[in-house]
Amino acid sequence: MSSSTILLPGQPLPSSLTAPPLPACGSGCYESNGRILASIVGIPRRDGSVVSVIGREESGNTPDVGSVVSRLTPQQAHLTLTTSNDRPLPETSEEFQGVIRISDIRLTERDKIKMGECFRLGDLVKAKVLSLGDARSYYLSTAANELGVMYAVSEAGNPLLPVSYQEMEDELTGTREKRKVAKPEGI
Amino acid sequence: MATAFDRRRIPAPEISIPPIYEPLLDGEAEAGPSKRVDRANDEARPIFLKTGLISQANGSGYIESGGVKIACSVYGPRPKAPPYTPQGTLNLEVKFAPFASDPRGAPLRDTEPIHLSQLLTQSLIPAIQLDQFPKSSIDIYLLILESDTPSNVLSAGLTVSSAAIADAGIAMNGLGTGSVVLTDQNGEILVDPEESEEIALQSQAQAQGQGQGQGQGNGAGKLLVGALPALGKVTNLYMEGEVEVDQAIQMIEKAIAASRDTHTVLAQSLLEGALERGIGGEA
Repeated sequence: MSSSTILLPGQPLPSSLTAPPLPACGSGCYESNGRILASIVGIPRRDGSVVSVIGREESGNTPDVGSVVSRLTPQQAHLTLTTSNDRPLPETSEEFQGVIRISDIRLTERDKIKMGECFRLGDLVKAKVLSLGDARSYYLSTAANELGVMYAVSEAGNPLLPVSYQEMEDELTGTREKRKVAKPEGI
Repeated sequence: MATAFDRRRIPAPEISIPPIYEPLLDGEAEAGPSKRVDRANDEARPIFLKTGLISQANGSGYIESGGVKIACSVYGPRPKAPPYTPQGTLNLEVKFAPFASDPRGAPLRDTEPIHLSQLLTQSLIPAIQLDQFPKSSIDIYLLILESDTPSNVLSAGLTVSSAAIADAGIAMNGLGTGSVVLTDQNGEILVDPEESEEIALQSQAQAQGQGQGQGQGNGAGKLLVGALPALGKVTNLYMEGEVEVDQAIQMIEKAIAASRDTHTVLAQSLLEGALERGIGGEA
């Protein structure tokens, strides 16, 4: 990788990437006076009609996050955000908090959801950011097939494998536990 | 044994001896091209700038520019305590190390940094895309390790904070750089003035002020410019003294040209920093 491909804040994206039709600005760039300029130090990339600049770390708004369940109540699960768009969030002393309300866990049968049958403490969850939420936390949602618990350990402490959309199995003891399971990629 | 021991300070050894230097050879100038005799009027002193030296921070920078040394660290974006704000908040703190100024200042007592951090915040805000960071705050800490004049501290502080923010991967409109120019009593425009030049200007102004009341004869002044050279924008102008309009415009132009030079240095060190750290998961 040569240093010439790295853009700096305020530098226009190369014309080969911004050729008409004028692409939309993704992350890491912005439009000013009809030109698309980088806003972070990074490498430009074009995916179809969106150009973005990929930097060292994700540090902006968080549309798609990975998070760890830190506190559970019957009405909502509190999570600590760890990754955003498959990139780790910058390490800071305080962490960003997210909340999944009970009605945002599943797409169907929302009235029959029991929190204990969806998440347990320490589960690794993939979620979408619904909104900026309240003063403290982002509101998250797992209401999609590909969202939900990605990694969890059983009561015996062994890793669980997904067996259906609402069950995971401990391979060693054979016991099954209920979760809101994320559909594994590539199936 | 001393009974009252201040744990916040590093105890110095009881005896200290000044270092002995090898005498200079005949005709050898003192180290550094910082003296005006070695550089042209529109030439700035060389800058050393490096990013990523403070590993605990999300982004950091260190600058040596003339008689100024600053370490800057950026933390964030971090979640901000309520109340909710649709935009990010910028917290900037300037601290002087006790050994940074001459005479040595009492630790944590001076009021100078408050004024400096307000000015610096003003110059930095147009460079950062704060609307990208709702409910978050960005904290910037500048530790001044060596200082000569407040304006030089400000201009170097602006440059190094831009470097540190870019190093932290925080979205910016452009890289902000600072520069200082000074019109001396002979009407010469000096870029990046050193402390002695500024003191000469001040004493001249004082003498004239006593002699002629308000007026300042041929006019002399100092100008600090904060700019975004990549966008061709000026974010902040701070001027002291009294000069003709034409002269002021010339000063601004010289300052912008100087800030463009600083931008080159800043860009170079950011590229080096990016290559060292690796970008986007690739090394």
